[in-house]
Amino acid sequence: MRQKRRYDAIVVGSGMTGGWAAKELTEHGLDTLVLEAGRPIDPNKDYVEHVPEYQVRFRGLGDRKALERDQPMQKDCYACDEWSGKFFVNDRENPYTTPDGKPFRWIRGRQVGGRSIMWGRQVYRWSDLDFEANGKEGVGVDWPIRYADIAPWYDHVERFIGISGQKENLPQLPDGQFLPPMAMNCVEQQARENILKSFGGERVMTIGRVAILTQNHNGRAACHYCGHCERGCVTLSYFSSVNATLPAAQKTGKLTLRPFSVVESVLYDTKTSRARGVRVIDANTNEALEFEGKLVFLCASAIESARLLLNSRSERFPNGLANDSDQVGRNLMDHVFFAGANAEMPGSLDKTTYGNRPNGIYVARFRNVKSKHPDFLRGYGFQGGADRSGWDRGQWTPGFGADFKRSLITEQGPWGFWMGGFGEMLPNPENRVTIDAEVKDKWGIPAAHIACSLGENEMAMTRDMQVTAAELLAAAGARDIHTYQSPILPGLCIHEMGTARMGRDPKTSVLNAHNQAHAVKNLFVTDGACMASSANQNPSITYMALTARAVNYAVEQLKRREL
Amino acid sequence: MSSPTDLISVDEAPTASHSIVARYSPEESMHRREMLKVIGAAAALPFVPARADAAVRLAESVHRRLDAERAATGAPCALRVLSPEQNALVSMIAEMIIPETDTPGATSVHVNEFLDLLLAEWSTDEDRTLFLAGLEAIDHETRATYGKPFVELAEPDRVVTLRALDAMRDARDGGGRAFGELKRLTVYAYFTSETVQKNVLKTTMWPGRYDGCASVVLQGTGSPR
Repeated sequence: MRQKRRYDAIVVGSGMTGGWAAKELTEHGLDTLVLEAGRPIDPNKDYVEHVPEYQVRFRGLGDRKALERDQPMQKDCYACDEWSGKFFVNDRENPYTTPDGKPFRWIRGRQVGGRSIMWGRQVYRWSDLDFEANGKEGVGVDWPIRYADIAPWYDHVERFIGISGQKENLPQLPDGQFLPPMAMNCVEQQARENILKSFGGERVMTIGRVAILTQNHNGRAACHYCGHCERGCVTLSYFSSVNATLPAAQKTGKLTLRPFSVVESVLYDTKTSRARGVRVIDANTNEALEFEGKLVFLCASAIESARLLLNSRSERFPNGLANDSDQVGRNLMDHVFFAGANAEMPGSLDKTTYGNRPNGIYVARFRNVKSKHPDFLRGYGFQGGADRSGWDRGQWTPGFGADFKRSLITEQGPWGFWMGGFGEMLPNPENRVTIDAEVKDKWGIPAAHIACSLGENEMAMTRDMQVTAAELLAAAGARDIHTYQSPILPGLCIHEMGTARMGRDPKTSVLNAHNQAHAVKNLFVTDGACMASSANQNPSITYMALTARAVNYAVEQLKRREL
Repeated sequence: MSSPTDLISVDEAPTASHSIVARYSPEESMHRREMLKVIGAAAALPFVPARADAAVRLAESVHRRLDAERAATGAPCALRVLSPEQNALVSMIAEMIIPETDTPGATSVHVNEFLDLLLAEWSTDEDRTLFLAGLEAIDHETRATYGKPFVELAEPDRVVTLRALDAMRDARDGGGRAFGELKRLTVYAYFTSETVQKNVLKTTMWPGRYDGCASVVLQGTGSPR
């Protein structure tokens, strides 16, 4: 069968941002090819959220030996379990390298939907506190946009995907287009009140803002609280590209989705100074194919898009496409989430929860908002939640016999409360993705070499997270508070970003204010690579809003024949 | 039970050629066959159903059928690592940890089979060796004290022995370590077993709502985190 080779637009990646690029491009009437490196997903077969422990071989403990052999990196992600492990890459087929003593976890999903299938679903808008910080503090480069530029696109994205949340009127955490919030449980409600009182309203605990429907929305059903979104969702209640944006794109009749298409490089045309298209290795046949497009959108994830640009060398761009600034691959950031506290919450023993709420609480950033902290720049938020232990506590508590058994069946443990920080990481040009020419993936494409470590600002922040998590829990009424600092493993927050940053100056940045490559006008990078700073909010909603905004701009430019 | 075709009309359900995900799959026809087997109708779950409530009902029926199919194929497995003697010891201790009362005990939900599976396919060589050596240490201990292996002890002596082992369940090796591991796995295997999930905890995979201030009498609301 002869395949069509020329399209109006090519999108590399079908996940969080690729799905949005596909939806917006096709809805603007562009004939769009979406290239996905991995396999197709069939919700009827692949979604396994209602499969109980006794229907999987190791009852949820995972196939330890297979994980160690095939997914030694991926297995460190909580979601890479006996159900969802299939949504994570095989590390042997997809190698990357790190320098000695600088471990980095690159957690990846290669399938239609990418990581939007098993993402954490937390969505928080940025504010001007975030967009202005680089410029004010002289860190990295100033963002070329402000909140006003992105706000309508947050609205646009939120209205389509459905976000549940509670309005709080916090300048540092703008409210959005919310569906009704999920409920806090009684212990969390009390904690919220106590914390508001103790800190004069400065520290606000709200219910997590989450891309899960609390009422039917755009043909997708409200959440039924089974609790394991990362395994899929037959009622399409949480947002993923498979559940929402790709079907919308398909409805236009303008979408061609090609799975098993590993993009090796972006092709550059010296005559027109434009990207001509992409070179693809068919993952099944290893056949090399070329596709051409008037627009090329990279939505492959921050490190993958950087790797792709660095692997796209030409006479004009000997150091990688669009890399005149030498910033491609640099300024890799993740979020700092290795510290917090947990505690017991006394009382409320007549109360419990019903249903598995796939969401927790969120404490909005309070550091460096109204006053300046002496030890670090920027700030962090907390995620967490309260619940009671069930039968699982029997694995660690003393006892055996009939009474032990009865108590595990009929009683629950005390309420516990966990709070973990999610902190901002500053851009540092030495935290960097390069190409390891010695190591190639299964398709012969040179692998990424990732050098990344936390700096003093991040370490000072993790120390402060432990202190304030304990303060918050104490204010909430907790006892037996334990702070923790887990081993620092950058990448594991799976918020990697920054490797092709936006900026005003082509000398110091890769992309302009519209995610357009300064030097290659029809090339757009709209995944996490574009970020000039990381803020502390979970980033996907910002990537999605920037993608929709960039497509709108690109289409306008096309219409004006400027592209 | 009504058939899924009553819930979503065939007209509303795109065929495979319209399905974004099945379209390019070389295994498409296999997926399709499996789906047909599962839902027993010529309609796949549509991507964006015309009516969300219909999707909910269809999904429920799909999962009920999957449950029934899987239940029909569950067969007991022969032990691969545990010797008959080790199995007798493990089974007796597991039943003492979670005895049969008005609800099933560890033996009747085959905790020993899951333990054997883990020893065969999951444990490291070191952990397996330490566990089996720990079992031996338990018998060694009771022979020294009572002149008999554990399984031959009178019940009061077995209880005394288990109490001592329970106090040492976090030990790095020996009988305490083996007991600790056996206890963790007994609790885990018991409560994740189909019988206990369905008949004792009455776990539902479809709570349908979240109540953050429920009365404690409402229990068994899902899988362990």
